[in-house]
Amino acid sequence: MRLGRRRPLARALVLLPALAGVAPVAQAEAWRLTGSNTLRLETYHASGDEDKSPYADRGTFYVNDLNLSLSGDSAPGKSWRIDFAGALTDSPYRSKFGGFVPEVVRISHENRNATLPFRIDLGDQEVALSPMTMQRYLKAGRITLQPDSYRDGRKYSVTAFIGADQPHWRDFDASEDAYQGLGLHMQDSKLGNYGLNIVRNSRDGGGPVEGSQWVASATGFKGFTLGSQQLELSGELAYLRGEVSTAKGSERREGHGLNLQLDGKHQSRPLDYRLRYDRYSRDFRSRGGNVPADNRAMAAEAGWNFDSGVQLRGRLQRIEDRVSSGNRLRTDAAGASVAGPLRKSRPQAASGKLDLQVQRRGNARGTVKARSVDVQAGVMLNHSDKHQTQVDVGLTHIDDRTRADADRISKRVAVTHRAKVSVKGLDLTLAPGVAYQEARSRRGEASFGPSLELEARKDNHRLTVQVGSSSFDAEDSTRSVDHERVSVGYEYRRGQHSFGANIERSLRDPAEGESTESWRGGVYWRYDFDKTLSR
Amino acid sequence: MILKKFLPAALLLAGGFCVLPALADPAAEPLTHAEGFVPVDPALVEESVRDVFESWNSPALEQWVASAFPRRDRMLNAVAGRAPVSGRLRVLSVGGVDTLSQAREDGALVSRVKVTVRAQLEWEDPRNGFQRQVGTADYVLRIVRQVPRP
Repeated sequence: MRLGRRRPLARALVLLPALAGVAPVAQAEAWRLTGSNTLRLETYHASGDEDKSPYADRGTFYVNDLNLSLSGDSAPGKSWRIDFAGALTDSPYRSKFGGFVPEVVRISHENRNATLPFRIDLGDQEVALSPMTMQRYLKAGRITLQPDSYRDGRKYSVTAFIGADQPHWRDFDASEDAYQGLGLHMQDSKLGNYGLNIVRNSRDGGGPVEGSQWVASATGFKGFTLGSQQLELSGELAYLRGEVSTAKGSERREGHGLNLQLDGKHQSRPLDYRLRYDRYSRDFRSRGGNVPADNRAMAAEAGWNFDSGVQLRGRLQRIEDRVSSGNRLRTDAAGASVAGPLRKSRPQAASGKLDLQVQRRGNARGTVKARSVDVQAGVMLNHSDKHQTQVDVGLTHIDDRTRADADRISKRVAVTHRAKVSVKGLDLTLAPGVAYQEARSRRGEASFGPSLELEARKDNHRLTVQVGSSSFDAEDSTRSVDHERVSVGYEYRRGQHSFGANIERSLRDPAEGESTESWRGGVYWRYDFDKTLSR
Repeated sequence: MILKKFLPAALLLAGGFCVLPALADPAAEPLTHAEGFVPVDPALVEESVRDVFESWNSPALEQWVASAFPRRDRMLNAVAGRAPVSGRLRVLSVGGVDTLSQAREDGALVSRVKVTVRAQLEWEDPRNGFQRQVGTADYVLRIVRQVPRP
């Protein structure tokens, strides 16, 4: 079975030289081959309490990554593009498969000069018709047509596709999650943009949700001016029918979805704003879409940009989940942020940001009832072109009113300084830092530690060093743990070739019990290519 | 999806395959697939992924998450308020780099890139000691590179 699935890929690869041979057509644009090949050898080791090592698989593994893209015209207006990315590997960190693992395989062709201009895409591709019907990365075949509208300022587009949402070529089974769809779209400079989409999905792979469903939607977008306001109104209305996942398993249901959004800005004042409404019915569980079922949400936000460069934004949001369940979960949130230079006279010298959000969350039965406050602040100090200091602080308080011992207060502080130094042609970047975090709830825990990053460059050489340590303090001190980690990387470039090595060591030292020392080392060779093949 | 095996989604920085909302303008995509299109260097994508993952569970995370990320505030609050204080995300491998779209905007080349990341969440549990959980998910990055004006 697997051998059979490799054949289409093999044919795709065979096409590469064939297409290159076809290239030299009169007046054709040049063919260009770009990409890289990277061969890595990596080894992983652990000593002491090996179960506490970050590396679950120990040993030496290889990975050869190939990325290539071939593009060009076989005739004026007739373009081709072939993309491939994949690996040859035995590393469990790289892939669950061993051997040859194709990851991106795609052939695209378009003809802009045809009576009916078209594009065909075969293989891995993003298929995004609309948020409610189709937003997935599929292994698919798709054709896009752009018929002539015979009107200035108007364009038509027709897209049809068939494909499957499958993460791997190696165990590809289209029936597990298959899609077919059609989209009709119009873009008009005066009337606006409108679309009609229909997508069918079927699942027969033995998973928890089987059967088929289809979703149809209409989308619209219109920009207009109202007084001094420049506005854009957009939205989507969708209907679903078919098998959806319910508490009882897979059932045949109907559902609908609606969203509307108004974006605006004042034509003479630095004001912008957005209003949005979303409503998705209980059974609107679109498999290809990207919206939550049984949900209602409303949001409003606005921003003002001051002459000084300071930006002020505010937002209000209400999200209701499980709307039809009788135990509706409501989340109300309000937030405000201010960001910009701290001194008007020297705006580059220091800038800051303050973000505040309060949230209330509860359900009808009272089993969820919580309030939270989140404050994040940061200051960036530019001492000179070569010295910067960043200070970030954060506080989050979750007040859970259903249980007295479930409150949680999290605090975090991080300070980093970045310095650039040049010494005899050696460009050095140093970034020492320190970070502290703590969380107090039923049990308290805290983490504290310094870190240092260093990068040195000279000509074709690059050296990076990262050093860090942290102490994890638990209320039960026997559970406290110290961590240390060091990583060093070196790369040398010569023409299209890059050679590198990196090594990483981490030490976990618990207050009680055996410590764990883990190592990862690797070397690599990368070859970059960018060639014009013919004209 | 594999993401669900990883962790509660709220604890992930940009979990799952997320496409920016595109309510409007579906017909505007021009038929110029090959013209001037330069796939983003996978080494640059890997470096960017490591920067983003390094910032997880720190205040720096906010700068990486797109303003149009679905329920962005809720996700950031969940990380700030509920993630283990010792939690960190280790990138185990980066692959499947695919440049989805590319456009020139004001002297910059703006690319949207899909990348598959195998990552491991590591933390110290006060009761059970060192914990790790591995997951694989697709992410979409928006990479902006300065280019000379034509």
